[in-house]
Amino acid sequence: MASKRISKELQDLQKDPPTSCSAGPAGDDLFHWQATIMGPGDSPYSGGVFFVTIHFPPDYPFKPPKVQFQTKVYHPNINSQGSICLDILKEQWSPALTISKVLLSICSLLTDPNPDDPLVPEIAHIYKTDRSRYEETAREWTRKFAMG
Amino acid sequence: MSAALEALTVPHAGGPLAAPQQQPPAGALQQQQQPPAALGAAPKLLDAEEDPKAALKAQAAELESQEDILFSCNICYDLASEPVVTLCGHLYCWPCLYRWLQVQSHCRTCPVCKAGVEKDKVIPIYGRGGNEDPRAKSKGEPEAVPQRPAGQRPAPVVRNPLLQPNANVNAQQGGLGIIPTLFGLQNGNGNGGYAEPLTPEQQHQAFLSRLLLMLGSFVIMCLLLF
Repeated sequence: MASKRISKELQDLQKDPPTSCSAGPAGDDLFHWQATIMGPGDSPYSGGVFFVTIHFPPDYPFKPPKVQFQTKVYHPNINSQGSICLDILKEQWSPALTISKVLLSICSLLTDPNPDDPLVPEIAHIYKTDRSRYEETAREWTRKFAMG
Repeated sequence: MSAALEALTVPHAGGPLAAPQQQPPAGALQQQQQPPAALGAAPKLLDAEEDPKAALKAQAAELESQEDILFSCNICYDLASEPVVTLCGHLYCWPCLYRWLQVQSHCRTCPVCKAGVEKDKVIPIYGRGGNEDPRAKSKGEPEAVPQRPAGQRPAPVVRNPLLQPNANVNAQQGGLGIIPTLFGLQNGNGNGGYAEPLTPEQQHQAFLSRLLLMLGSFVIMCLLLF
């Protein structure tokens, strides 16, 4: 069932690709995908291309996929390991969600961080107290790690 | 299904595409019998004639897939097997929804809209061809999924109050029937010919009032006779 559902999602993605991201199997393994997310234009990540790995559990879609950034990101909800703090990837997961919707949610998380549920408290603190410094560092990291 | 769709769409959608040729197959045959100089054109025409057919096939396939999307399970994204619909109106395969409700421990919600879902409050959908052998299914499913909950069967709404079951019951009560009939019909007269079916509570009340009336009239009869 999992592989059938994953291939259906792949078909949908190819038929109607989202504007700001792309995704597909990394190799022959249908349960291991590679995705790219374009930094949203209205965020300090604009212009960057962020690589993301996706692992589907064997009981997908009853359990959420494991999604991790491979590119370093300066963000209150993304840590140095690339782990993402996003409710729909944990307790708010629903089998009606798709990878395309998850990637879109990550895009909006990049635009609107959630400093009240931080994964990196220091960045959350800077985001709350000194927004321009946060934006500057995020832009610098994007230039360094997500461009070229 | 797809063949029927194709047959339906061929004359309609094929019209503008095939317009430049405007030749029935017989015409194409005649062309092949013409001198060799014209032979070169004939295969081309045949090729072009097959193209719109392929496009139509794709169209039919797309239509079919759109239909599939309309009636596909929100969990496995396949055409729903043993379909059930939640009270919030979302369609699932019963095995898929059952498994999701098992996975969710604390709070059982609809995957699409997060409305509350209870196992025995989903509505089964019975189409025309849903009577598969249940044993065939148990092979594929590792976990035993129980039967879908049965559908509810509310009593039909009766349009003519005289044909209402309650009226019949009253008529059968013989000698004592006149006064209870007045009581029994009161809800049939109220809404212009349409009679709502009685709820169990109302039925119970009607029964009690009839019983009291019977007792009262019995007492009066006793008083009169003795």
